[in-house]
Amino acid sequence: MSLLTVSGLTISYPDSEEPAVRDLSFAIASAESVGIVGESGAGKSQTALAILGLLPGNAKVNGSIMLADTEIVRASPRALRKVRAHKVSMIFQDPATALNPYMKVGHQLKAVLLEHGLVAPGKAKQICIEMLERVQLPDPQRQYHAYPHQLSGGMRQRVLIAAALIGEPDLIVADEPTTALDVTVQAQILTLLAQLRRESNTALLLITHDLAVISQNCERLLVMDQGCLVEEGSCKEVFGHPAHPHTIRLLASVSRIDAEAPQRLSAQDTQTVLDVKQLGVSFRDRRRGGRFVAVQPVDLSIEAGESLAIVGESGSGKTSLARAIAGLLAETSGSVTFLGEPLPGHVARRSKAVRRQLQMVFQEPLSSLNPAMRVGEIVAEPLKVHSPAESTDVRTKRVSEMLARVGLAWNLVDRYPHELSGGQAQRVAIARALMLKPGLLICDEALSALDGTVRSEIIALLKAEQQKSRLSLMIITHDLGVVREMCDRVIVMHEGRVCEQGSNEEIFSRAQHPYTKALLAAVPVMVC
Amino acid sequence: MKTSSGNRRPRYAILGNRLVVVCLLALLAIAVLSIVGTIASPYSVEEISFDQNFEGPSLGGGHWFGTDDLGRDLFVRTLKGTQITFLIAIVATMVSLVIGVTYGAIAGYFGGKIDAIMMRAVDALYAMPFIFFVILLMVVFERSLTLMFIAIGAINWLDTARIVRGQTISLKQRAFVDAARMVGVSNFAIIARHIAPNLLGIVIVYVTLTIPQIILFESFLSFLGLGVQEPQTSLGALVSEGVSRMERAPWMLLFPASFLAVMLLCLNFLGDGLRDVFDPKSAKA
Repeated sequence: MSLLTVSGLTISYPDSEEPAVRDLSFAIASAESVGIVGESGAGKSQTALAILGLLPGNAKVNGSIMLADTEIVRASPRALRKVRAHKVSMIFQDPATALNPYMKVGHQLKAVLLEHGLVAPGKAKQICIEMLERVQLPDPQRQYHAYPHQLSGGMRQRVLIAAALIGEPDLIVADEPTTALDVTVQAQILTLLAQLRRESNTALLLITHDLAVISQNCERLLVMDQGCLVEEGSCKEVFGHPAHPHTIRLLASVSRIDAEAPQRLSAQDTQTVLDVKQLGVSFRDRRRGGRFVAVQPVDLSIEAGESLAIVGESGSGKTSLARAIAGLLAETSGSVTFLGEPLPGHVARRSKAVRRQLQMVFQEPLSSLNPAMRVGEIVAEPLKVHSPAESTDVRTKRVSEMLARVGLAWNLVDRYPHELSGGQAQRVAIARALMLKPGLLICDEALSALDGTVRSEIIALLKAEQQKSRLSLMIITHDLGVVREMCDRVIVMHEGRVCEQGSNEEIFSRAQHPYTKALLAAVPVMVC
Repeated sequence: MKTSSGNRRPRYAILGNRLVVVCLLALLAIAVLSIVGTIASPYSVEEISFDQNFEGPSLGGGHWFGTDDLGRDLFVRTLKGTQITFLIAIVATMVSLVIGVTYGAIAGYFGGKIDAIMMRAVDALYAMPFIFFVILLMVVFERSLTLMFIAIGAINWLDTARIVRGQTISLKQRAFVDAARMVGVSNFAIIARHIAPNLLGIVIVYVTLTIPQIILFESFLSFLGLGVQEPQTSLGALVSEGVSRMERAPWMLLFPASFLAVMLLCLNFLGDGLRDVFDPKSAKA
């Protein structure tokens, strides 16, 4: 007897023609773990929300979702409240926003118990503390009284897991539970989740875009594409013998740390493009006074046509380092030499010629494009600044050439950024950066927000550019798979310090530093 | 270039929004009427005839909206008042917008010491009692419409500057400003091309709140005898006059008040619609 039976589920919204989820049917047995994979817009999260009856009011839901003996579709709010926490609960993607910032975490946990009348009010606190202990939150007695902002991301996610488990549900729906977390924390959280599930025999529906995470945590998986279920089966079957072309594409786009290292494109002459000596970054600490050191003095250099990766978890100082080199930070120490010329610290004091050569692509493709400008204007802006005398015809021609080069159709030229997909937006950002034929392109987590297949397309695009114009790349990322796939040299940063640097092969096969080893061990690897 | 065809889409979008079109047409009709009507009418604003005072509105008698306590034709006076009110609202709003947006955007964008000095100056101006300031202005110089514009604009830009500064601070931290810097765009071009267009939405909403406020402020000044002076008039002045004669001659309140109400309503809806149009995200393809 299956715990959850979804049949013919279709979810549509009045303002879009295509339904978000179309005719989806699947079942989950008790204590089973099932994964849903798919790219953004595949309908994964909509499915999760539908199972909890959390879809927005304007969603039109057809079909049936049977949880044990309750029909969720068209259930009354009262009936849903009875089911939630008790029978099914959810772990959300972003632990920072899923917790109420004005409530102590202990009280948020207690609220789950008391709202549903699961225990007597007198006992609630004790049970909450026990639960916090079970999710291995350090010092639960004290953390019970902590506010969410006083906890780290990993600790918050533990609290959310505690809140999801405290009602002893039969099914947990986890929507990208570790996407917002660092990889070492992700590994801990996933281990914890697996352990707790074993203890209490809870079924799990795990939604993620990361195939490796699914392969390690699920028995069965569903592959979704544009609202449809395209493939279903045990992890072994699907990963071993994928049948649907979409699954094959998904699998091919996974950047694996156990892949072959890339061949250096052109290693014959070694012209140094960027030479950084003792570059340090510190910020004024307003609350405590004094200074907060984000990056300890670092030496690094990049040669022409080389790609250098800077790897680290959040707070390691990798983005501060990149922004310091780009000249976007006011207070830095040390020296940056670019193409043989010393660079002033701030971008406003750098010469136009230098600015042209040093470009940057940012993490969030959408926020790096001005929402009030059209694609054509955005891509043409560098030309406007650097060759103001050019006629509009020449400019239009160059814009159209550049759009073609990054693989964008000409008809996008009149679109606003919000009308683009994430991948298209990032291509526009890359087009803008390449417009000036830079010598060095800094990519600050430029690939992190993208889907797997889009990411591999962008990687191919960057590699092609590198081959064409001996572009040097500085890739700031937390994704070791990407590093393995496209970088020649790697710098590993931890808490503002460089803890190891070396060639791709050295870091991935013969890591010396314990932190590097821990990082590599934490990366989920496909098991099948 | 194809993209430089500017505001093509906003124009379409404006026409697509029925409420905005209706309001726009209504405002236009009122404006045209106020100009044509004052010229075409046989009566003048200042012509007094005591034997015709407090005449009720009639189509046949010539005084369509009736007459006031001094026997002046209310139709012409209402239209004249509408003209003045329009003028004050638009000019004073423009003054406060231009000063406020420039000031606020510069303070917010450059931040640090510049911001501190500029905003403390605003605080200092806030601390001045403005009625007192206006009275002084009126006493020292002659009472004139220009002075009204300056006085009202000078009060209103302070609010605009504060709002714009706050918005600018949050906008300048967005990655597209960094991206523009990397590409080499100068500071003032960043303010003009990247910051200002993104302020438009909030500024337009603010303007729709400002215009009624200015209209009310003007009528308040007129009430104190510091605003528009007889025989010139404004809707605010007519309304306050109408209120005092409400029992004897209700039409003296009714006509100017309905003009004022229609104008304010239309401006509010227009602002709502314009905000949708200028926010690229809400425009439907």
